[in-house]
Amino acid sequence: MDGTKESHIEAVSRTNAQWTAELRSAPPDCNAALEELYSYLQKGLTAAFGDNKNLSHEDIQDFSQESEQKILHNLGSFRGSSKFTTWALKIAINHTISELRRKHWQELSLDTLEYPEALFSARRSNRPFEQPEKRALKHSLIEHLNQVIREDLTDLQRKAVTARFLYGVPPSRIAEELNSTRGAVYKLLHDSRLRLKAALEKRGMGAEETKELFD
Amino acid sequence: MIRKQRLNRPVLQMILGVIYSTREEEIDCDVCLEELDAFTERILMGKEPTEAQALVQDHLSRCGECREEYELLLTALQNIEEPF
Repeated sequence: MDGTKESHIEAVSRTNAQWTAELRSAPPDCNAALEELYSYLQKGLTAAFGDNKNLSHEDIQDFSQESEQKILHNLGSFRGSSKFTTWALKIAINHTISELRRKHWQELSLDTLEYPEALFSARRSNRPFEQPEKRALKHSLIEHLNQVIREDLTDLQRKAVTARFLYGVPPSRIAEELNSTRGAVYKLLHDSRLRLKAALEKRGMGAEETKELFD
Repeated sequence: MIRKQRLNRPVLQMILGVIYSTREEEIDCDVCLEELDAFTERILMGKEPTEAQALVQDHLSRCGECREEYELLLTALQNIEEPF
């Protein structure tokens, strides 16, 4: 058994209470736990992001260190519903992927996107040899979809729906632009979806009525 | 400059699917992430999600970003942990 594996097993064999108690203690009592936590995070992030060509070994080290600080800062929120190391790795993965997403979308500003009156165009979705009835239903559905987005959503909901559906912008980036959280953007989009669903059903364009379009 | 998605048949189907499948009771990303560690361990143990965790599972089927984090955590734990 190599040294890495031994250190891993030692880390896993700590109980949750031992982890939190040692990490809360003053130096030098916390040093061993800090070192093992860092080592665990590094291994975990390497396993999670090993295939990601945008991440170097140094990046993994940096993210492990930053994550460790975040974990120590949030120690009070650990409820013990999982192993401490699983909870810690979850935070490290969230921290790392959030940074990667931020970097990927950094050029984007929601204000530079176009927010057309009609979000979708029926003409673009036509298929050759489509049955006239199906084509008519699809045109009608798209018209209704544009109308409910225009009339049944608030400005903020319309902005989020356009960014998400028309441009494929992820909720984390929308959240950053709106100075909000991913959870709050999810709620915003959830409320929008509920409104759109109800509005389409009210217009006779519910799932049942439009099912044949995709048969 | 980011491009608009082309509204072809699969995209329209996907958007309508997202709208039609909306449920009154859905959890948001913050709640999902809160529960993700316990949920992932349970999956690794080969157990069915608890009743409360069914909402996590539902959220993961709707949210690509949370699903990505779940899959990364699952992959990492499968590679570095002893069996649960």
